[in-house]
Amino acid sequence: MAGCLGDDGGGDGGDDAGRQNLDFWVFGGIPAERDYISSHYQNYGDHDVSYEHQEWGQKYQIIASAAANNNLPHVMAGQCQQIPDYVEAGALEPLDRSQFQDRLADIKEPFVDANHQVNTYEGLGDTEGEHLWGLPGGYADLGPFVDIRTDYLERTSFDRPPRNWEELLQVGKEMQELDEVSAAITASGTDFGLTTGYFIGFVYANGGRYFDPDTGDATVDQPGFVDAVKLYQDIAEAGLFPDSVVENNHIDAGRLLREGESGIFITYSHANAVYQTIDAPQPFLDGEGHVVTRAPLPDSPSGSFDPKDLLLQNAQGHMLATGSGSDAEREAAFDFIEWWSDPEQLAPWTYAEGADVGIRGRVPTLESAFEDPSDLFMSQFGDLVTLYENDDLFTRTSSFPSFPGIASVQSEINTQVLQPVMLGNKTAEEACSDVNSSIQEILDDNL
Amino acid sequence: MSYADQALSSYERALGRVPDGVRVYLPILPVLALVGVFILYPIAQAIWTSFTDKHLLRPDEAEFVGVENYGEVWTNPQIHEVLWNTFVWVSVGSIAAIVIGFVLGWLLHEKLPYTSVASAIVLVPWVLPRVVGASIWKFMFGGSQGIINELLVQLGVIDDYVVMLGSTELSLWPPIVGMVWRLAPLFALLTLTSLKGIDRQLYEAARMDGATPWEQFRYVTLPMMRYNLVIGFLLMLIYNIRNFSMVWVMTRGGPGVSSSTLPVMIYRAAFVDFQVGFASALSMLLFAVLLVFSYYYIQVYDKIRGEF
Repeated sequence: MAGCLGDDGGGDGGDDAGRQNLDFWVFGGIPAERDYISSHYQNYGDHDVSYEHQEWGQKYQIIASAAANNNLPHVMAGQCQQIPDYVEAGALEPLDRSQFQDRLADIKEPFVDANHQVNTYEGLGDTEGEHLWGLPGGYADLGPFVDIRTDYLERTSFDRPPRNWEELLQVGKEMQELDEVSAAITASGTDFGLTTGYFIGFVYANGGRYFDPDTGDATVDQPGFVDAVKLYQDIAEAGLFPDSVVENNHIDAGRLLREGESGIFITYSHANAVYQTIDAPQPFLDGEGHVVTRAPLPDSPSGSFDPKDLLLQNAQGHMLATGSGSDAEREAAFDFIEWWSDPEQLAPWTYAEGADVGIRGRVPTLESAFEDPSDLFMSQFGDLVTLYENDDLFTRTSSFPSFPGIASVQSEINTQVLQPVMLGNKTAEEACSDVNSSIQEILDDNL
Repeated sequence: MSYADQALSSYERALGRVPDGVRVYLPILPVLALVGVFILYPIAQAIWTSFTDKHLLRPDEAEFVGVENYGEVWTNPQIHEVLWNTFVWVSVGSIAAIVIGFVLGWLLHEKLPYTSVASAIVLVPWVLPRVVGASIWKFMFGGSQGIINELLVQLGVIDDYVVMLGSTELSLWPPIVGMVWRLAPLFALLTLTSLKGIDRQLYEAARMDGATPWEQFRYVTLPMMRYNLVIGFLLMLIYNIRNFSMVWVMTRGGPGVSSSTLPVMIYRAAFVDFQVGFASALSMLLFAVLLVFSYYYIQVYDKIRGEF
């Protein structure tokens, strides 16, 4: 019945027979985003929407439990990196179903295409071939990135951010000589997804991967991976990481840069969002005194896979959850996603004048933001705009690694590779060699 | 039908038809149902799950694997370090909480004025939400700007900041300190209550017999408190062994597994690795240990009831 009403109700000129009740879950986000989303969704008038904010850190438990209890929402906004896991849990439907195909091209058009590429997966769940599982939402997290204090950089022999790994070490060593600096390079070191997230971009840049997608064999002990770990080892051996690095999460690490104890923060493009959580002054959040840019790349990648300069994920992408009980509900859910994907709703993430709601540290997904960058975007990410204009930003882009079991792999890499290496308890070769078999076990269980 | 029968409600007449042997159990049926639904069923489910390969994201595909998960528990490369950490965590944390709590309780009873106000203040760590308390300790133990490091430097105990939460050798100890801070007040209150319950005439009699303060403590206070002490100790053990939040918030069990205890390992298995079957097997291990503690707890409790 609902299906019949829903299918025909759209053109009734104000007849409410086709209105559906939709549940909309949003995972994570900084306060400014939550404030904006939690009020702005009410401007959507075609269907009745119930909004619920969900804890980012509990996403797996919440989604798995909701899937098991048939209590999923119709639309979710969250990390698209976890799409394979969500599909595995039976929580998502592809967006490119036949009834939506003719509308998708228009919806996708305003976005930087790399965002759509990373949300396209092949053979997930019961599906065959490639399917689109998410639409980008307002912003993308990019990695590997570094944030560099320009006041410290000016006092080194460099007049620009380091461009390769040798330069990164060199700048770090020169910064370490400054009186204010206790540890030149700060990074997240606790067993938390972001620790590996910040690091894995160096692996991809070096042509490494967690595993070979063709064979399913773990490749953590291969040169592409090991040499990226070696970069962390070199930083640690040069005494550039804080002594407390493995007890610092991303916020603690960011705080060290903000307070001037460190000069370089290995991070994502979201550094300014991190500083928002530690009450940094507004000019600093707007980009004053530091530069957030793509991390240095290896001069000659040693891995056997395609080197990737940039990893990308939509951390608040819109996904069609399996909460729809009828085609009418599914249609309504897609309508709602289409509405959210309109540039007008996503304007706050472009930092356009008049649309600023206090969001910082987000790289917009809309192409128009790069084509006609606002002052606020430039002050935070001017270097990215330069790279974009040089056609050098999204040319060698990949999605962040994403496969069933990734949380487990990340935890293993954190605790058995990065932490021992940063503490100086193991060399990169030892740590990677020791962990490869357990990574293989996880892959065998999950892939 | 007699007048007496007519005076009975239909419910009472129905009840009258139930055999006596069954009727006596009817009043406890609601409680039994609640215990069954909220305690026995989850336990039975956990036991069953421990014999399956249930995955958090693919619960419908779970298959029976016999004792495979239990075998994996013992062959897991991390289990020995985790068990040792759990032993240190429980024993050191409980004993320290008891010693400090006892002294605190005794001070409250003997030395401090305004006992009720002082008791309320002492209880603050206990009533503070666990995660809040753990977060405060994490901040204080911070290796780059923690106040404890600063204090130790100012006092000349150390020359430079020592990284504790991020050290494989030291990472278990800050959570233990946090745990003692949380549990000692509870034991102090138990001690205070016990001390208040001791008849003062026993001390007067002891003094008349020439007992020194130490002898009064040794031969009057301790024997009178022995059961409360044992119960308190068992409660500390039970509370400590299943505690998760203090370690998780402060160190997330790391670096590596250097501060992982059994509850942390269970959490990781279930919600990081999604291996619910293996996590259930680990939970059964924890359950068995808790059963032993609970058995002794009930034994002591019954003994107290028998004596008083």
